Amino acid sequence: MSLDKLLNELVSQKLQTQTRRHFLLDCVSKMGGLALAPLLFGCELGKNGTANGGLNLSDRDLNPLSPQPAPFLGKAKSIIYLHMAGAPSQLELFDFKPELAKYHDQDCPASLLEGRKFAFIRGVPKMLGPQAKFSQHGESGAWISDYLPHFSKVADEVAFLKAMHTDQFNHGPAQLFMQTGSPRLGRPSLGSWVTYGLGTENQNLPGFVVLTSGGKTPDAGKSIWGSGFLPSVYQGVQCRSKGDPVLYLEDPHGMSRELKKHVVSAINQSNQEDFQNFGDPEILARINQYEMAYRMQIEVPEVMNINDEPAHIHELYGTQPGEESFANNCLLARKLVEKGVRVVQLYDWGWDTHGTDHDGSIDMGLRNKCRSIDRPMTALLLDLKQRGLLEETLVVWGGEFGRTPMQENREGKKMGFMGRDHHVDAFTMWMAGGGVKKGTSYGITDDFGFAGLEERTSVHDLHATILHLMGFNHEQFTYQFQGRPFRLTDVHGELITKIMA
Amino acid sequence: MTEFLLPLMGRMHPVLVHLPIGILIFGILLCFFPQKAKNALLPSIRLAFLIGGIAALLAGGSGFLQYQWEGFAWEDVQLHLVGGVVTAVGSFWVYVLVKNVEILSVKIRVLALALGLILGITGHWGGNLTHGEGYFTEVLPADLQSLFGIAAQPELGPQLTEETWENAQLYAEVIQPILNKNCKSCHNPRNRKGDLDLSSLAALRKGGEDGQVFTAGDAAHSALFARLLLPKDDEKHMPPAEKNQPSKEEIALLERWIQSGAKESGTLAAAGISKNQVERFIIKNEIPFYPTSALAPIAADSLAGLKQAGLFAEAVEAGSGLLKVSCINLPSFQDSDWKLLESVKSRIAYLDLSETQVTDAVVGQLSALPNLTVLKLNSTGIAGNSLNNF
Amino acid sequence: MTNTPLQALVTLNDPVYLDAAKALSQKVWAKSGKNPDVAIQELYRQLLLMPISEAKKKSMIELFATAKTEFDRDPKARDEFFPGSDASLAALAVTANAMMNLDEYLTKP
Repeated sequence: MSLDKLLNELVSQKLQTQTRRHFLLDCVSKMGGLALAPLLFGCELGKNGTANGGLNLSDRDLNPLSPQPAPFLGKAKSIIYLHMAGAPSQLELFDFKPELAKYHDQDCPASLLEGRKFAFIRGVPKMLGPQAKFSQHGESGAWISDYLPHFSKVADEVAFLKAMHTDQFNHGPAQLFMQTGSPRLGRPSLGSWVTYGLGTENQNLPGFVVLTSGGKTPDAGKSIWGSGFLPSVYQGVQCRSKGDPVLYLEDPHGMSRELKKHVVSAINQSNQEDFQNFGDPEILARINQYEMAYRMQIEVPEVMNINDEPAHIHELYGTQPGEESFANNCLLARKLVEKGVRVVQLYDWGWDTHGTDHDGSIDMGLRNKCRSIDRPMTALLLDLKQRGLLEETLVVWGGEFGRTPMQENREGKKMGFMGRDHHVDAFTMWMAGGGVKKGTSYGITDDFGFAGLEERTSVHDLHATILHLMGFNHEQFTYQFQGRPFRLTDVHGELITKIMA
Repeated sequence: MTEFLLPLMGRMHPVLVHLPIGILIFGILLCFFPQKAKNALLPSIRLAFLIGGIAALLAGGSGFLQYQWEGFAWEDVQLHLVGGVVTAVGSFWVYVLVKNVEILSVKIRVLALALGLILGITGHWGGNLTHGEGYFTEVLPADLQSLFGIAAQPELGPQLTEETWENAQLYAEVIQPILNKNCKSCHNPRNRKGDLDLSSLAALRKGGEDGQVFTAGDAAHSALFARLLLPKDDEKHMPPAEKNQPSKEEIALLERWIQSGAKESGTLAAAGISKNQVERFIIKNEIPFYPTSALAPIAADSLAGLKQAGLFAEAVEAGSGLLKVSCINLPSFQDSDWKLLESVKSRIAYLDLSETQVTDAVVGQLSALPNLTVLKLNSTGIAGNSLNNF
Repeated sequence: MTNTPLQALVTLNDPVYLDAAKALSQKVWAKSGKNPDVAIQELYRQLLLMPISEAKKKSMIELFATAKTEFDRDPKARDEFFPGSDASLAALAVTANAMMNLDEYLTKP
């Protein structure tokens, strides 16, 4: 009886100590490992890595974030991407449609509705004229509305993409599409691709930082800055924009930096041993993340602290230290880029103006929302410029889709406020900085701003262009996964040469 | 019923030529075969030259037929034909000489060698006709090719300029260069695969063995365009899958040309072609951002040395010898650390010393960097006026 | 389990993880008869349910020794880190903290 118990105990203990990795290891070393090895280690161990024993690792394998030269000379070395989650109305900001005003409150022509689906519009909606006053600005004569009084002063710095189109009319998939090139989960984000391709210059900061504002994170969740099938070391690192930027940056009381260094090195030594045994690249990523964490503890508090910025900078951005705001994030973005961070991704939530309430109305809510970004994003461009950073930083602004020229009529009823539904056929984005031709406009939409007529730009075209400006040929920038090379732009994407300087 | 016989015979030429080549070479080898008993091989030698001569006649005849039926130009086959005739005549001559002697003389051996030489040259000319002139040299490495002075001028495709592209001739300056770049190597007057020559408009209009290759105004029914769109693994896809493929823009322009009537003259503007469509063919006199430099890429260990010192250093682009150097990870960098950079002085194109401890003393050093293009000195001890003489 | 520097900072510095490491080391320290060698093996077994490898044991023992020397030299730091402990126990807590950050602990099966 007691012997049985003892044996059971032994077996269960042995089972408990067996993990998936041990099983895989046993497969390789004991059961005809030769045949299985290429299958098991097909998971991209690193360019020079071999399955076992003779690990031959390049600089890149040991530090996946170490900088790499771009395949060709990119005009930009970092990106600041301002994503307006929820999708701002192009018809109140940049796409001036005087014709649309004439049709205000009239039934939408059947030709526009034929064969189309909208997220909420049902039946025949009324047209909704532009609710903003437009005027031309700068030497380029760009049309910008009175919703963005500050931004109109830097009109000559940017290139507008006015006939953007996408194929997803719900926020989550559209955000995924805009950020990862695919509306489904699982692809690496634009920022991950760039970080994977170029590494990062500052060893003490993550290569890809994400900051959010507007009270919520985007609908698609963290996967829009995820690394997909790329090693997870390339995913975006989300910093808090209120309170401590990153939690637990401080060492425990009584633990000196020196001791912490020993802790991290003991952890990494042990993990290194596991990597030698198992060859799982995630362990390598873990080792790097611990080193990064140790170094971040010094640099992050310094770079994420905007209190010490001079008064004129606070004035310029309209920043209030301590609160979570797009303005603070813009200032942080500049500081991060200045410190050599490769990609800074800002998400500002609250642009989904359906007209269901005051905040979601085209005439009031949108105006308030614009107020919150107008000064900071203008300041960002000016500040980058005065520091000589604008020519090597690419700034991209846009939502995940556009908004309809029709008034939303949820469930066929008239809404209490003026609102527009999701719209995939036409919306406006802008780019500025590194390699972008200043004061240009690309793409023309029809008189209703319903669809692009000329120079239509797909999301893939946008990605192709961004990669090009960073020094990559989007058709050759691939990652081998599941037996085939993957691209950010899949099999699409044309360069928008007209907006390149 | 039997009219196919002659062209068929013609097409047998590439097969038949191997008979005289093989037999005659065998005969020539016999002439030099060390023989113990004097000239025991003479009968075989006679036979070899006799049969070789007959085979040469046969090959020559079929060759003439091929010339007649396959549309070769006289200028091209001329030498080859003469060579063939000389070979046949030469074989019989040697045969007659050998037939009348009991001992192989030096004269006969020399003649046999000469015949072999002519045979070789004729065969090579023939090979050039079937496979194209550069058949052997094509596969040589580029530097060997240039050694022979035979590196072919690459066809560049359309070359337009920013100012005049609208007035460029669509056919002459765009379409023909596209055809030259992508098709001409197999479809030219000398080498007419599928009996098709795409090197001039007149030849294009003639079409190939399947008839017309385009119908003006109807690109979809024009083989010249449609076969480019077939999947690569389709047998009819052109150019063959293993060759360079035309770009999307080039195919689109071909389509536009056929759609607009496949005219000989007419400008790009007249055909309604927008700048977008020809953007990639417009030659840009871009001034490179960094100086052009002949420096080879920096050695990995020198680069590692810089990184070891805490500097950020990387080539400005893959394969370039110029460097981008930044002290972003080394805020303690000071004047005395300049020695770290001494060894790569000529390579530095981008230098970021922002937020380091450097002072005016370093300014003099900066002017000694021949390729310096971007310089950042934000938040350093350098005073503005020290840069005046820079 | 995420694999970002932020995760590393949480499991290294979050008081919850530290308190767990301290409590565990207190338990193990008593059980081991104050023998660091035994205590480290036992810590690992408790956390991972398998015996520690020689190489890992070696780096953990080194860490323990370094931490102990430091806490011996600086009792004030020891009190701040682990009030009411002695240098050995505090050093063991540091070691436990490190073990709770090993890849195999974070990514178990």
